[in-house]
Amino acid sequence: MEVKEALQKVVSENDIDYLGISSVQRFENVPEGHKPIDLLPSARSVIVLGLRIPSGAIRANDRAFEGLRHAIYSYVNFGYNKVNEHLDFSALAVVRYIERNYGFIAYAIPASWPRDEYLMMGAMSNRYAAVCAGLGEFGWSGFVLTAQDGPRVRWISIITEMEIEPDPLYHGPKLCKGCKKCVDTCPVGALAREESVEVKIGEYRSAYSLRNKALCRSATRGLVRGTPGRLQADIPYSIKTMEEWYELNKKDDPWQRMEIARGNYCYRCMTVCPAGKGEHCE
Amino acid sequence: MGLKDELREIAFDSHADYFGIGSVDRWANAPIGHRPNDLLPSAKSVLVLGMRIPEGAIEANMRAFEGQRHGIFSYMLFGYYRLNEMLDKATMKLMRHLEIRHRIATFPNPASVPRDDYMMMGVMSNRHAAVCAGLADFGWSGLALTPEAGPRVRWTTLVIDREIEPDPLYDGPKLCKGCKDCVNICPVSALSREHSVELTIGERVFSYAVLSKTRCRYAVYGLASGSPGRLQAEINDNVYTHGEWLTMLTRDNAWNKTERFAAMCGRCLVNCPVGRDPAYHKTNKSSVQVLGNCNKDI
Repeated sequence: MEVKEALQKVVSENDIDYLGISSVQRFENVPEGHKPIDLLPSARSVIVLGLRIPSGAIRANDRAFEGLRHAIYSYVNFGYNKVNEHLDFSALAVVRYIERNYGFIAYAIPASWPRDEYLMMGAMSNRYAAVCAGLGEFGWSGFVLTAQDGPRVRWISIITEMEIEPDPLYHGPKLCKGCKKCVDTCPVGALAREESVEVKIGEYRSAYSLRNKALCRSATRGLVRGTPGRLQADIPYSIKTMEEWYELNKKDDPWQRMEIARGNYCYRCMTVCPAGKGEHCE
Repeated sequence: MGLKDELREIAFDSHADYFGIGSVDRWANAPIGHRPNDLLPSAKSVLVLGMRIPEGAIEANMRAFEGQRHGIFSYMLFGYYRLNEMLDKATMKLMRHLEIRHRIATFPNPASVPRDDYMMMGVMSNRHAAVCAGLADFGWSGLALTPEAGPRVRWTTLVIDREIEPDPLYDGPKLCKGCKDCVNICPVSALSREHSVELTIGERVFSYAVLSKTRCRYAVYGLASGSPGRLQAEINDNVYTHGEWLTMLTRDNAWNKTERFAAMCGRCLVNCPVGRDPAYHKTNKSSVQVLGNCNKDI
């Protein structure tokens, strides 16, 4: 059985919706320390898996921001935690499959947690990997847009020594029309309307909005007013810098943390994006 | 199919790489309260499962200690947390099978957390159980060493009220050659170079290094400098006693805990040369295709 066909079988068995392969060369412009070869020097390929976020979970996020605060728990659970958990286990299945059957090392990046909370960075960007693997393009929000589901997909990547034929980069019609609904809907104004980050992957060129990570993270952690976040938390209206973010976290007490084990409380930019043909948008 | 074969099939179907049975008499010298019969008085056998830590997760730990701190996140998740979750799922499946299908009483043990963090002890020692079930030998590090993967295996234990034929204790050549790489690599000097713990399991006498649990736990929590632990944590390198450890934890703030997810050290396990055949990956391929669904529910 051809490698790709075999991988497709493994991921199908784990109900994975998206599978793509990238070469490590496509990551040459990512920050030092976060390239596949920095993490696994013998790396040749990156395997990316994606799982669609169910529309029911997206609906729950909408209800929460309409005022039914408790709906956010359905989103946190089924739109984030369980999706990422599913991706983690699926990646483990792929890692074990590759190590056992082909004898190559496979190094998985967490779908979400744990990550460097101070730098607000994962070990490697799963979004960037998804674009490198041809599964979608960057939207203005910085999310990966897919033709089918827009940005409502979560990703995980696996770096491996095995040489696998890469998939072509996305070359379909542009999915982001630049409507900037993501900018308008952001409860903390974390996305720039004009300033952008340029992306170069081989011949491919793209750009997405410059994002204030500290602001974004304060909303996803439910620490900003206007999100369906933590009711009793002692929270400022907004924070702008990493230092403020760090100080806010230090003061955070166990009660404030009761509701947020893992997960996130925002993702409005993802929820409202019109890209994708999923039932959510119809 | 006998009960043992049935259980083995469920275990391997649940992605376990190791399966072994020990008889309860092998725990005769275990601490009171932590023996199978303390937990299930009628217990007769103990089932032990192991899952090999992927080499990719071991590489991640190496990167983390070489300076790419974020490597630790892949190790924590795929070298610890998710593996233990899979072992717990397997225990759940076996326990339900034994109780519902056979009406046999069981007593389950978590693969890792939760545990008594005050005493720094689990319900039962999964490492000792692996040795009692014949799956491993003790290394100087106190970790259970397997011939194929050294100490790079996670374990879990299920106590069963039924006689099941025990597997023989490990009786091959001693796997630990006493190189003490584990002692040398420990970032907090938690392992003694000279002092050992001796214990008898069945007919065999095993020994391993005396471990300062406080020092060890302190690195595992990412609170020691020199570990790829929590960047912004207020680190006090003079934690030696249980009291000092508790004082430190009481002061630990929410931010410090944000990244704390699973073991942030594991150096003794990563560096042990036993079962570390660099050619393993290229040569020792399993003939069985693992086309598994790792998301299968109980």
